Amino acid sequence: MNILIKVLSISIVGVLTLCLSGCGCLSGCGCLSPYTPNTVPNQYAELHSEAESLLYDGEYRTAVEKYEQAFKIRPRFRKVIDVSYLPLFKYRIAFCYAKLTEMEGDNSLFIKAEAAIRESYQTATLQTDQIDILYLWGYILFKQARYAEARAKYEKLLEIALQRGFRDRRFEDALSNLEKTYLELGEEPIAPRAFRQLTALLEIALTDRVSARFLEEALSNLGQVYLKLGDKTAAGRTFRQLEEVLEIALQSEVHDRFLEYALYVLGDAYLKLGDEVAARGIFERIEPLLEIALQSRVRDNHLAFDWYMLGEGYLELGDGTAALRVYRQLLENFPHSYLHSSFKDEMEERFPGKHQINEVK
Amino acid sequence: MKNSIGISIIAFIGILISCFFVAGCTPLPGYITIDSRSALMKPTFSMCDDPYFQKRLQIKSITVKKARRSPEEKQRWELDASWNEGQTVWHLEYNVFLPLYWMNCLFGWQPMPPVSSLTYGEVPWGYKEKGKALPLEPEQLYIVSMNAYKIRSIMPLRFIIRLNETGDPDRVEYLGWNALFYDIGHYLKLH
Repeated sequence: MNILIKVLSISIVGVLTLCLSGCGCLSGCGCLSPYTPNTVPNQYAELHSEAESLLYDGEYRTAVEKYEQAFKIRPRFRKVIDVSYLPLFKYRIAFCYAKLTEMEGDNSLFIKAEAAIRESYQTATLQTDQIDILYLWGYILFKQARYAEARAKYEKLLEIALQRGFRDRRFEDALSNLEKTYLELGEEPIAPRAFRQLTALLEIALTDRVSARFLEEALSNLGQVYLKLGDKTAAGRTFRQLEEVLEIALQSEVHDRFLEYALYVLGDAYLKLGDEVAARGIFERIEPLLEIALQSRVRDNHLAFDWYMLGEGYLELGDGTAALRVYRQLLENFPHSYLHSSFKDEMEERFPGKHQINEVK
Repeated sequence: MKNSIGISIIAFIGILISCFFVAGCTPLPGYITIDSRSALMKPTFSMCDDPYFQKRLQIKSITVKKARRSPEEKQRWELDASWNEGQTVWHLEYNVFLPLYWMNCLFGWQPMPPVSSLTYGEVPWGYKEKGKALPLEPEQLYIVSMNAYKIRSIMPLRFIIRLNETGDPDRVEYLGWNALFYDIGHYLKLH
């Protein structure tokens, strides 16, 4: 015992001595210099930063004043250009004016908001930026009771969102706002242009038997949105269309590496729609694909994750045997994956008595 | 006797935990930018700890990847393209003296990397090229990630070298960090 205490004491003293001496030496030679960032005083940056803080605090009037001042003295680069800089700056100004109008009830400020958002849109080259800008533009028009114009902005937004596979977070809100414009105008809602375009693209893909990943993504995301909105009919219709598109992809010789995950999303959606038979059918199609992938693809985290998700799918389906089979594959074939280490303990809880996965052959 | 052992062990573990706590485990966000005076085919990158690029940081490492894009993606999307894979075209790291590295791990002290901006393909003193710089190609999408001490780029910077009508490099277009689109959107719900 005495020896143990001595060893521990010596260890502590040793570590402290090493650290202190190291610190002394390194400080002496200047290697441990304190953190001193290069600070460039910049009136523009200060104004910009102040405006941002004010915006977050809801002080829109002061914020917009600071933004306008900063904008006048902004750096203007011609050769190295941040493509989001100008549209984002004008977007902030438009946002402040729009919120200020709501707070103060001064509708004349909407004119300024609209001018800023128009300029923002004109300078935006990225689709992601355009989507956010169109959303705010629609909002400004809606608040002025210019519903038909607002609808046009939301329609445009959805068309851009379609090109991106409906994966933007504004898509769902825009869809909902679009319906509100119909309500306000007292008209029967009709399918947005983007959806009609989607249908046309879908028909071409199904006729020509050509798989298109963005179509898969668009249908998958659209179906998820319908599920979220509680429209099971529309969700079911969309997921069946997705299944048709995925069927084409399955029959092509070269499989996209995301195909297994796309199938998992479909199976999971069928589960949420209460169609267990369809869900099982999909999950059973994933497993052989993953088996092939084990032989032909790099056993990376993406592939491990696909196995993991399939196991989760079976588990949700209530098929513990199939889930266990899949999890065993995961643990056996991906010993170096992050999922292996984080999942092994979890397995012991999920399948008590059957947790010795690696030993079972 | 047992008490003494217990106290020693607790004290030892306590010191170790304190060291790691002081060192900090969570990297802070950093913001990458391209110097406006850069040469078009050899951009100069820097990282700051604020989105207004006032406080430059000493760079520990930089990785530049060329995004692999399908023709469909290239046509439809540009800087806002989704990408998952890329070919590393340049990787540079500050070559830390090993004992100092361990001190860094234990106490959060650091041998400060010497530079706060790096020009593509140039290797300042103290840095080591882990991947040789391949020539940049116009109209290709590149993704830049950087690390400073305890700071990691919050969003990789993407850039494309654009050509003019005559086919000469004309400008560098880049996409940095634009948090506001994400942050203030929830104020725009129509009820």
